[in-house]
Amino acid sequence: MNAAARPDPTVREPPRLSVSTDGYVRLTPTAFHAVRLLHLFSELDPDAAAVAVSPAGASAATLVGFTEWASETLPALSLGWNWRLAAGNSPARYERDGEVRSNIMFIDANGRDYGAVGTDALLREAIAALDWQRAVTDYISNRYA
Amino acid sequence: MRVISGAPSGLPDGFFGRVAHYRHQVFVEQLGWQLSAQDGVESDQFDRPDTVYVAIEDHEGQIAGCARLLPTTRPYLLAEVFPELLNGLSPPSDPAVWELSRFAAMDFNQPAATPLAQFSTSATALLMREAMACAARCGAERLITVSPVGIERLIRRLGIQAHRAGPPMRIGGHAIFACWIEVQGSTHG
Repeated sequence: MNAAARPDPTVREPPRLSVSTDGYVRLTPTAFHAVRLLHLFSELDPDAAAVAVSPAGASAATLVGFTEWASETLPALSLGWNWRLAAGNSPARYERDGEVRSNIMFIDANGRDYGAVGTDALLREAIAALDWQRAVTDYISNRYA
Repeated sequence: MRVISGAPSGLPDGFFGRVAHYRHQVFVEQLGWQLSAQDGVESDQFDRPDTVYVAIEDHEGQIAGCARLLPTTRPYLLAEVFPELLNGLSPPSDPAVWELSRFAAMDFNQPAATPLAQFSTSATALLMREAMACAARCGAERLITVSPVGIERLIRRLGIQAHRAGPPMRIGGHAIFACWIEVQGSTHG
């Protein structure tokens, strides 16, 4: 998998994909890593405002929101997750917060589903390797400046 | 809270009008959706005699949430208006698949509620469970819904099995998406 901002010249041809009748796009983790993801949009979540409290009792507002990414494949792979930006950190850094929401179901070489939990675990790893923070920073800065 | 559900012929007199007014308050006035509305009432071509409604009343008898269920074997919102949200999948036409739409649980008795607070926690949980139970009684095994993207976080927070059908799209300035919700296994307990 490759962030849109940093195309990888070693990327392979995207896999042939289809939507199952249950709405999932099934593919192997290997096939997933050949897919390029693009940032669709990110938003603040005003209903989930959070306050971080330090052990000493000081508090700092934490910006929270979500981000949406998708592939250019047909059908598209879709991923979204929540993020938080803690003001107390220096420099401030976006961090993924919680599960990954997607239409992806990973399958093994025999076509067996990984299941929701197994798929989520692999998607979390993939996101950790994706340079998504820069895209979110730019988008949020422009949208809410 | 009191739950009321059924097709229009089985609802109390004037109840649909109150639900349509509540929908106008939520979707048109608060969320700014461009919907068919007149005289403070929101309804469309999918509000039919066979449409099933689920609504909750608060302790003062005010509507505090509503949802609409449509069989996919007849015209429904996703298939007719937003098929692109299905990511290339043909819109389902299956008696075991029902559409959930116009879902909202905004509590107008909460003065601090923001326009995006479409889903107040306790009312949302109750309404979602009741909508799923009602759908199950209608024969649904799965629901497909067209909703703002925020509902996906909420549904999964409630422990309900659900996953998106494809990427969200901005339509009329609002990010919406289609979401599959498993009814079987989620309606007990």
